[in-house]
Amino acid sequence: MNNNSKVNEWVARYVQQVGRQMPEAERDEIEKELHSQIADQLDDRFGSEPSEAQVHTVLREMGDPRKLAQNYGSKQYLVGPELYPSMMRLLHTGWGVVPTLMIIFSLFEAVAGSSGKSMISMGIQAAAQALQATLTFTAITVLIFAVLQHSGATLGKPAAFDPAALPPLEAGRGLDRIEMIMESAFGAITAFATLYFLWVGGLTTRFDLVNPGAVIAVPAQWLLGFLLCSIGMVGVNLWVLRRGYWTLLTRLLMIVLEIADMLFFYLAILRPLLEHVHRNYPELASKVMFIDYIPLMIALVIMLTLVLTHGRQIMRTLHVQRAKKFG
Amino acid sequence: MNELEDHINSLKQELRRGVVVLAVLGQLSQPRYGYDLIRLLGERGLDLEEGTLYPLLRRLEKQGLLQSNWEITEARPRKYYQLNDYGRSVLASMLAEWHSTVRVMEQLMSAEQEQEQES
Repeated sequence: MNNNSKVNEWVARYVQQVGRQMPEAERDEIEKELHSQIADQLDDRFGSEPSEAQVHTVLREMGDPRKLAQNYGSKQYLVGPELYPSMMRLLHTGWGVVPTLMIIFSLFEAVAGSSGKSMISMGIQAAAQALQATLTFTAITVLIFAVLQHSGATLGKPAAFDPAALPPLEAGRGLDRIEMIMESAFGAITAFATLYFLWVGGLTTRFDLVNPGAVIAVPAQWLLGFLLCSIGMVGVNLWVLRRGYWTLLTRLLMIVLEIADMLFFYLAILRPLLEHVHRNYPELASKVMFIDYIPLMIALVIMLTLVLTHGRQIMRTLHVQRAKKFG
Repeated sequence: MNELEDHINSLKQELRRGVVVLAVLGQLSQPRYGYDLIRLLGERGLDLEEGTLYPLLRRLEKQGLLQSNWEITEARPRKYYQLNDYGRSVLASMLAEWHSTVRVMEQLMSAEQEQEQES
């Protein structure tokens, strides 16, 4: 990489760190202005080929990107522009995952237990539980982010801004630390739950090591596969968090783990649930159209979503790497 | 001594904060871009940080005091800012207020000094 490319990259890193904290509607304009203004300074003070040290001098004088972003128009927020994108991404993910899991859990609870309820009342109960869980998840998520936002003001004096410590360019929005921490926590909880299922020999709604209640037996190898994938995904998340950015390798690793995880989820949980319904509630199974295909459809839709989402992120990572290589 | 210097610097910054907007508006009767304005203000005695001026320009534009346009015919695209009609009338009012404030402050300070000398 020649010197001009290095200089451009430092400027691009700085501008990206400011821009990612700005509202989407203003981001492009502000980034364009900053590029122009920094280039004018470098030209005027250091000529057409400034050194890295000279670039760092100018960036240091520009100030901490967070402070500059605040100067562009900070207001009093419940959740500020720095955390808001992470919160919304977590909420969007949760609004898909939480009600789905609650409906599956309610269905599982209904078939594993012996409630004797009608389909309609089971459906209403499942929908009500899903709604309640979604609202609770939303409230807790917003509360956590609000606390994070406002507790930032009471932390100690921030370290002096060092341009040399600017994170590398990241395609798209950059690393969403909060979202990744939440995903890791969720993955850890899933892993513990799977360990419990392995211990008791199958799926159960009762979390009691001594008396787990009615257990739906599942092949242990699929549960073990699901457990290993969950642990692997948590591991990759923590690795990326430590490094501070995604690479092509970590993106590929994550997509493979998530697809395998979904496959094991289908084999270890969805299919055994379906078989349990056929064995114990044949009249219910005959009433629900295409019931045999529902678990497979759920798994395929989720896998396709994962492939499309990660595929887009992999393309962006490749684009950034290509841009860095050719200056 | 450091504590005193810090305190004085902090008070000086507060004083400057009140005049920065007037100073910036006063230099935009003709189109100027960000770094050009920083240099001009510096040459005329007011050193302003880039991190203060650039967001200020954008804010003044949002408030309707400035108009801007991207000039793409030069070596690189540059955003030029200039007072619009509304900004000119606001500047005139602020200048009048500034002159009035300076007169009041001079009266206050000289009255105080006279009192000190008498006592």
